[in-house]
Amino acid sequence: MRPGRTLLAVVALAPLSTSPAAANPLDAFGFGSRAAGMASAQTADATDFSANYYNPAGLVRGDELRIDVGWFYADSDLSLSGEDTNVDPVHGLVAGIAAPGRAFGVPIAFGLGLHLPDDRVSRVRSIRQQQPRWEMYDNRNQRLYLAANLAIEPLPGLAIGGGLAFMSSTKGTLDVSGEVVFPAADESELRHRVDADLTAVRYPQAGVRWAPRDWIELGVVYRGEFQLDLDILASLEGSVATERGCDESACAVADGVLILETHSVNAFLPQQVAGGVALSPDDRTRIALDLTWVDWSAYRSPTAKVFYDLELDIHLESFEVPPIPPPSLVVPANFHDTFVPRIGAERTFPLGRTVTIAGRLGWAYEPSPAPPQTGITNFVDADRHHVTAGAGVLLSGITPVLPGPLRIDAHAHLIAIPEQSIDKTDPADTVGDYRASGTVTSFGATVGADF
Amino acid sequence: MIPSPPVDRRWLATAALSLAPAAVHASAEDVVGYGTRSPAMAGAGAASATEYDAVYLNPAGLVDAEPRAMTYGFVATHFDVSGPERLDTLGRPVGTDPRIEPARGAIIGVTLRIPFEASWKDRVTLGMGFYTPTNVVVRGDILLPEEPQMLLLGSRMQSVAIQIALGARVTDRLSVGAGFRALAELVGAIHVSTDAAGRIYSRSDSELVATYAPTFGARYLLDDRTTLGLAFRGTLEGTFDYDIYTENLPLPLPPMNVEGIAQYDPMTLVLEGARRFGPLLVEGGLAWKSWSDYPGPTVATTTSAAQPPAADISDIVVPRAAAEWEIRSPGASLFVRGGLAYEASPLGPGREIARWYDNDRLQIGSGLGLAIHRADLPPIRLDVHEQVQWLLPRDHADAQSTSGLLWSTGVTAAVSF
Repeated sequence: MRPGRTLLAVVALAPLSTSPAAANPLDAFGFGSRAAGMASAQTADATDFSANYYNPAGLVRGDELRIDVGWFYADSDLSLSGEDTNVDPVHGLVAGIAAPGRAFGVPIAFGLGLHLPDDRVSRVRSIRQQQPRWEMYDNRNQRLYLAANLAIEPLPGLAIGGGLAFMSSTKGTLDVSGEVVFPAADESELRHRVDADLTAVRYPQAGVRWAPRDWIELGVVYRGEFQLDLDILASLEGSVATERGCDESACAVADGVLILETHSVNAFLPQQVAGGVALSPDDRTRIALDLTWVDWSAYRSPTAKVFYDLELDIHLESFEVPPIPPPSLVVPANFHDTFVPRIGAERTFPLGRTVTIAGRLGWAYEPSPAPPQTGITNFVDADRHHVTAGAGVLLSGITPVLPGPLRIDAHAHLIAIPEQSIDKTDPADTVGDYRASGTVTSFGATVGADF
Repeated sequence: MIPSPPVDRRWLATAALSLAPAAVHASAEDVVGYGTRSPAMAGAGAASATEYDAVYLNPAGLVDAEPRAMTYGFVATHFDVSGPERLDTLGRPVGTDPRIEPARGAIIGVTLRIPFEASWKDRVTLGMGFYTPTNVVVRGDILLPEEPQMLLLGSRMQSVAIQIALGARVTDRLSVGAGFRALAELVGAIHVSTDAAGRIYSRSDSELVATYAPTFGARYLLDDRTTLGLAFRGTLEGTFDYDIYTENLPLPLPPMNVEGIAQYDPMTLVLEGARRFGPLLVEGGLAWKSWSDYPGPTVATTTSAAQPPAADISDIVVPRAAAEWEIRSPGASLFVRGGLAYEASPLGPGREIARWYDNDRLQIGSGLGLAIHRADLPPIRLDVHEQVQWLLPRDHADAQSTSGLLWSTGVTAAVSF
């Protein structure tokens, strides 16, 4: 067999990039039961492990080492024209540490926050733009959140904190060599080589807290943007056989080149700036308000752009290859920025010397960043209300082993999406008009100890 | 059994036959040790590590860590390995530089003694140890078997380490520890097809899935000067598994299963003893590495393709000896460290059908540590290490030979708060 008759197929996926999903599950469901029970209005309030997300400056507000661990479950009942869309539930571990101390005479703190789904670290889906999907809930919350932070209190009442959140993407090159049989492709003998990296992605977060008085605290936090590209380049070089073995009569193509290339954006997390105020009108009441700007206008369509080319040096006259189809055209998402108000309240009730219980309520309104889906895209989303409730119990002195109290918190969270009609301007639209509505419910519990 | 396809000489030339880092990709801590103290002692520390590095070496050692400390540092590893001649696209020799990428990354360590009271006081410590390569979380190079490659070095250093463990003091003499190491592996698929309008589109579904390996350890104080350490680390494996499907394209292609082991640390059992002679600490022991469980770097791409050759790999036992000399002065202590280890290659000689190369390695470590304990400062510690590994010359069954050097340099700073 001549060397040229052996198919040399080279498929290069370069860079093949996959990533955690499109935004942040903590935005959707909260981080820890106390925070979730207060609708995540925590920019100026959080001092436990949840400060790793809401405002790292809050880590230095506490006096004791605090360790928390919990679990949460979120389920969706989202439908299109009455049909359940089977959005996967999100459930997993939440945990974190807030470790304050002093160095060089200055209060400092280290924090670590983790949200780890039970089933996966992350999932990426890139689907056709025509296919209706709940853009904010279909897949974006199936991902890890891991952040490490430092905080310092350089002046009494003023805390500054910041750190990095860590993610991972994948880039690689794939070569496949062997023999492709046409049209009986399953008889092809191919081998592969891969050069793939899971690459580190880090994005910043930083915040400031200021307590001008005992009863009021102000906070501002910035969370950075990141996006991960899914770029696939596939090139095949070599010959094609009409029968396995590519002998004189079966070798249809001696030298050919096939290029397959896709580009898409995944895991887009818009940058955010949140401002908040926390008030303590008395020793047992805490009221927190937040307003968050979310830079959704930077959002890019997650639909893949595809390029395909085929060049064949055909030796066999009877061998015909159909013409190359054109690539699909990607329509911009055209999202717009949003402002999200949040309010949460907590009231504690001492029951004797060793037990304190707490009740919490929260509300948030999240405008949809998606424009009306009257064209070929179907990024289904709508303005939504968040209503949350929670309860906690603080147990002091239950065992001589624990120097501080044991905290047990639980929460429930309802996201209501009123029904909306999606009316297409083109009567011949392949998807047509439809209605969208639903709810997302979540609940969870967190157990923590102060040391 | 499906025979392996013949080797295409043109392919061998055009594929830039470098001696490349390759598919096993174990971790940096498995190759040179974790942190800066252990590499300075040639990987030893199961009986003596008492800081953040105990999360890897022996979690039982965490019980003697600083109650609340943070460590940050940087480690870099460079290679100078010679092997089979590398060819350019016209088949001309261009040298024997294997071009194994240096491995650089940051070390972050944390120890937190859980401040229980009463009978649990000062008995439980949480430790976290991370190593993050500068750019990657995991690197996976899966080459064709006939391509010359250093199977156990090179890319195996390019892997993140996420390690969390608890150490608990059971009695005054016995402490135990348990934890895990975590890694991510990639599972996914790409579908390329045409839509109703006849236009090409692609859709993908990829998941990063966490994989975990347990870590257990025990330490026993035989007397005031002698410590025994036993550590177990489970197999840590990360795969790259990507399927490619095409439909309705002009040239139909079969489903392709692009799969391989991107990262593999063998199950390891370490037994070491440490004895103090005044300011001198001497440590030595053995580590058993279960490389024979390694399943091979890759699999067949299509259902009609031949299976890749099996790896000729076996278990090994690694002896280590190390010493640490402490020079005390008011407010500070200086530590001088050194170590020696010999790690035989678990891999058989390279063959024509599987040019997987590896060498026995002689590991020589050295390092310094400075601990400052002045009343007006929080406890501060600085450590540096330099480790050299000599890849002993080895002749392979395909008439090739490999040899070289590996340098690892690191520095860490720790502060208690």
